[in-house]
Amino acid sequence: MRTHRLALLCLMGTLTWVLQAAAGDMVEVRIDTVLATNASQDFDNRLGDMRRQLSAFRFSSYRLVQEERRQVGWGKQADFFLPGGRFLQVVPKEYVNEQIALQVMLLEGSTPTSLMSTQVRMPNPGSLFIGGRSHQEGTLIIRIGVAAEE
Amino acid sequence: MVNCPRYERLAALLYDGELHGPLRREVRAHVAGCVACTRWLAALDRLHEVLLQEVDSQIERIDFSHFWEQIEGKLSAPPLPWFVRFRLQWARWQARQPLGIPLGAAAAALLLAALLSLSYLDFPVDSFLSSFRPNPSRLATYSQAQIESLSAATTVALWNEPISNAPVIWIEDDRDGAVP
Repeated sequence: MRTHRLALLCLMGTLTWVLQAAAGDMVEVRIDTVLATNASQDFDNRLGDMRRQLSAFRFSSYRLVQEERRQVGWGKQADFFLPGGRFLQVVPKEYVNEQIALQVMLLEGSTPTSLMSTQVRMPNPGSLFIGGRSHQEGTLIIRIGVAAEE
Repeated sequence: MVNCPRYERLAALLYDGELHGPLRREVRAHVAGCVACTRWLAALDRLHEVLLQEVDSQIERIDFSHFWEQIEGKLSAPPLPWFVRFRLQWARWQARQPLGIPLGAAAAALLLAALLSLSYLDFPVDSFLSSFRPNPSRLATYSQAQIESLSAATTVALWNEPISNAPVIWIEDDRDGAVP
C-alpha cells in the first residue's frame, strides 16, 4: 500500500515537472499602472486594449502612468516600484492544469509594510486588477498580466 | 528618523532578508556608504535586541513546573482522525470475511447485476448515469482565475471584472478608496 502511494506521488511529481517544463522557463509579467479620476473625460490611447475592462470601474478618466514588462523565472521574485512610493512583489509559482499560480504582495509606507498579499491561479494568459489606493487626485488601478510559453 | 527617502524602506526590507538579486546588491552597496541608512539599520538591530531581551524575560516568568504533566494528560487519549478510524474498521471487517472474496470484484459484480436488472425493467439507465457525469458549467469555472488566499491590512472588496472575468481586488483607502 505504501509502495503504491509512493509511486503515485512520484508520478504526480513527474507530471508537474513535465508540465512546468512544457510551459517554458520564463513567464512574462506585465504591470500597467493606471490613474483613474473623475476630473475629466480623457482616456489615454495607450490603454486601448483595456478600454472595455476599465469601463467596469466607472471612473470618467484613465491615464497610463507606468508600464513595465519583465521575463521572470518560475519561483523567482520580481520587484516593481509603483507610483506613490508603493512596491509590488510578484512571484510566478507554478504552471499546473494550464493555470499560472501567482503570488502577489503590495507594500506601502515609509517603512514598507504589507498592505495586501494574495495567491491566485489564473488562465494563461491572464490578468488580475488591484485598485483603490489614492494617488495625486485620483485612484490607482494596477493590472498584473502574466503569460507563460506553452 | 532617516533622511534617505529612496532607501529607508528598502533598508528595512534588507534587514528582514526580504530583498533578493540585483535589488539586494544595490541596497547593500548603498547602505555601505550611507550614514543615515547605517544608523537606521543599527536602530533596527537595537530594537531587535531589546525585543529579544523582553521576550526572554517574559519566558523566565512562566511557570513550567506542571508543563509535562499537562502534556501527558493531553496525550493520554489522542483522538484519531476519522479516516484512520475508517481504515481500522475496514481492516477489521476485511479480516472477518470468511470466504476472502476480493471486495472490489464483488462490488463490481453487484453493480453490474443491478444495472442489468434496471435495463431489463426499462429503467432509464442512461439518464440515471448521466446525473453522475460532471457538469460542464462546473468544470468551466476552473478555466477562470481563482483567488486561493488573500490577506490584507485593511478592508478589501473582491469581484470579477465582467468583460474578461479577471479578478479585481479593491483595497479601501482612507482618503478615496470607495468601491467604484
